[in-house]
Amino acid sequence: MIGKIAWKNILHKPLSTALSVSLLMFSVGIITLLLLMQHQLEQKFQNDLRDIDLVVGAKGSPLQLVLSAVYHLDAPTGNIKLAEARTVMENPMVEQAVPLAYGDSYRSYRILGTSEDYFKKYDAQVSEGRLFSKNMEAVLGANVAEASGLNLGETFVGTHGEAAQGHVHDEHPYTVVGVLEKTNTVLDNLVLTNVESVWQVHEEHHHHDDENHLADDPHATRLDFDHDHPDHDHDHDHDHDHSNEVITADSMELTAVLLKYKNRLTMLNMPRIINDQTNMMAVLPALEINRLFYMLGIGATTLKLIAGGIMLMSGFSVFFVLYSRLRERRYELALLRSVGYRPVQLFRLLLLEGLLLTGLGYLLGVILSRLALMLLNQQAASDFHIKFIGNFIAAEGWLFVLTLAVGAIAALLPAWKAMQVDVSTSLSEG
Amino acid sequence: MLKTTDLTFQYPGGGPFRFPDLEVTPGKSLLILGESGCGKTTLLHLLAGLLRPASGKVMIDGNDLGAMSSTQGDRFRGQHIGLVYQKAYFVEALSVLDNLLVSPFSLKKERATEVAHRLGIGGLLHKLPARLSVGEQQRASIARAVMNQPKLLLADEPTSALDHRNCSVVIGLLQEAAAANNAALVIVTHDDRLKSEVPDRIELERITAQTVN
Repeated sequence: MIGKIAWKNILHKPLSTALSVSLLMFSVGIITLLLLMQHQLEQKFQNDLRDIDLVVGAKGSPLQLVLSAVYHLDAPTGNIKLAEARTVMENPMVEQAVPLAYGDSYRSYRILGTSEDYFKKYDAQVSEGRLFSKNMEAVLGANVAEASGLNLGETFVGTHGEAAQGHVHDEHPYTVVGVLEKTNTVLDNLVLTNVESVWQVHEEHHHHDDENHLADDPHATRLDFDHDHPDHDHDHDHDHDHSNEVITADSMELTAVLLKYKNRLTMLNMPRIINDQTNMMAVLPALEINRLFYMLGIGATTLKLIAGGIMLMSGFSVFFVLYSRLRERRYELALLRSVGYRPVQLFRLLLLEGLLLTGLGYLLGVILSRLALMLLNQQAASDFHIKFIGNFIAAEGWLFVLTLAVGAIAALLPAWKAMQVDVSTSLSEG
Repeated sequence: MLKTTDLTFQYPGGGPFRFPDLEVTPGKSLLILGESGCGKTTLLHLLAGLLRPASGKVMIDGNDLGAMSSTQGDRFRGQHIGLVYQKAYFVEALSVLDNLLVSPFSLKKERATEVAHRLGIGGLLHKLPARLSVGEQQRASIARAVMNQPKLLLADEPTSALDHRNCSVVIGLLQEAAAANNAALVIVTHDDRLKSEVPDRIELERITAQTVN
């Protein structure tokens, strides 16, 4: 009966209930949304990082290099010379060196030239077909396959750059030879091919460009990383058969190299040596990602503080609602005493009302956060290929405990006062 | 049945009240008349165990209220005593039906409908108490008081807010309800209209100048 009285009571004053509940709903909603996003971003970033000890790329922003080379979220910092990259890749202390050459994009999915080691790194298996073995063969990540609807044996052409509408490389179609199983890693959103294919498309493309835009200012193309080959030997063989060619000329370029050491301790000096003695930049990805999360964390903490402030206010509103009604409710509290309720049961009644108000706010807040997440997914999925899921996480459980604690503390004084109601005096007030 | 001996009570800083000994047998009614301030409500609350006497004893069906702990007192009152107040008090947020069932000692819904029908409020069970007329509210109070088939039914100025017609109806209902449950009925009032309704009565004399009621 106490439960029923508590429930009916908070429904009986819908406006003040709505105030307390909506304040809680917003604070819980904001905090939950932040917790969910932070949790999943960190998980995703950690998962995609795998065993990459060092990322080597063109000089620029270290964070940009990591975001582009490991997570494929940003534009690359530029290109590095294959010859120079080789000095690092062939270092005896390097266990595995995965070359990455950024090609074009297909329907906003990046085409990436790489080696078989890249698949091994992410434990990727083909669900259909096989991995590439020749130039211009492509393997689709699970999401790309699903979004594009391309089947084995079908061909497609890359679009220059990341934009949806760019220059289309009509003359160099890729053939789909394999589709990967879903890995929940960056691979799902990539079109993978060998490095030589990327070179082949762009080598031809350069000649093509040079032939057609001879009058153009040569510096205009320097802004575009994919076209930025100032030292490129434009004279080497134009007219050979591209189909099965392995281009190994040292003048060719890579975008980045992902390194795994044999022994981390012996390689402590490697980043410094690369940064000091080459035109390349070496970055420890784990360090950069920690830095990124630290910076994101400052923003998230600010938002959490605001949400915490709202929660505090909602605590006060619960207190005011319960406390201000005590005066008009003393008759009914005295009545409850007179029909046999113990003072401690009245204490429980008020406490329960506080818990119900905050518990209800929590429930609605969690629902609100899921709705916001759905909305966010619609916006973010196409831009970043990140899909947040609404799984319940442990931190939400703690938030629930915190919310109930706010309700209990807010109800404490009103509940104590309810216990003290003087039955005889209240009931003899005519 | 109810029996009191040498009851006195003293409010902090107030003069003492000394009450005459009472005895009511099951099924009988006793009217206690008195002016405002003579301690009528105090006496009623002593009988209900809501107040503790300075001295003297309240015996209900062989149980000494003064010998009970406060927990036992609350329990005994909840199970064996029905109270009707001058003003009809309800848990505002609950329907009339839930107000009849509000006791912590499990009551049956069938009992509530039966009692409500007998008191003529059977059709109002699902309304909120605030929507009832004063007369209907007083009936609902009586219904709640007899829900647990009390040994003792206590009424504090049950008719003061009612007109003549409702006054005799409510007293009739109280007596009827008490008789149906074989309960002893004690009514305290200053309402002289009740003299004609209840044969057994005691007049309280004003002992102190202090206004209590």
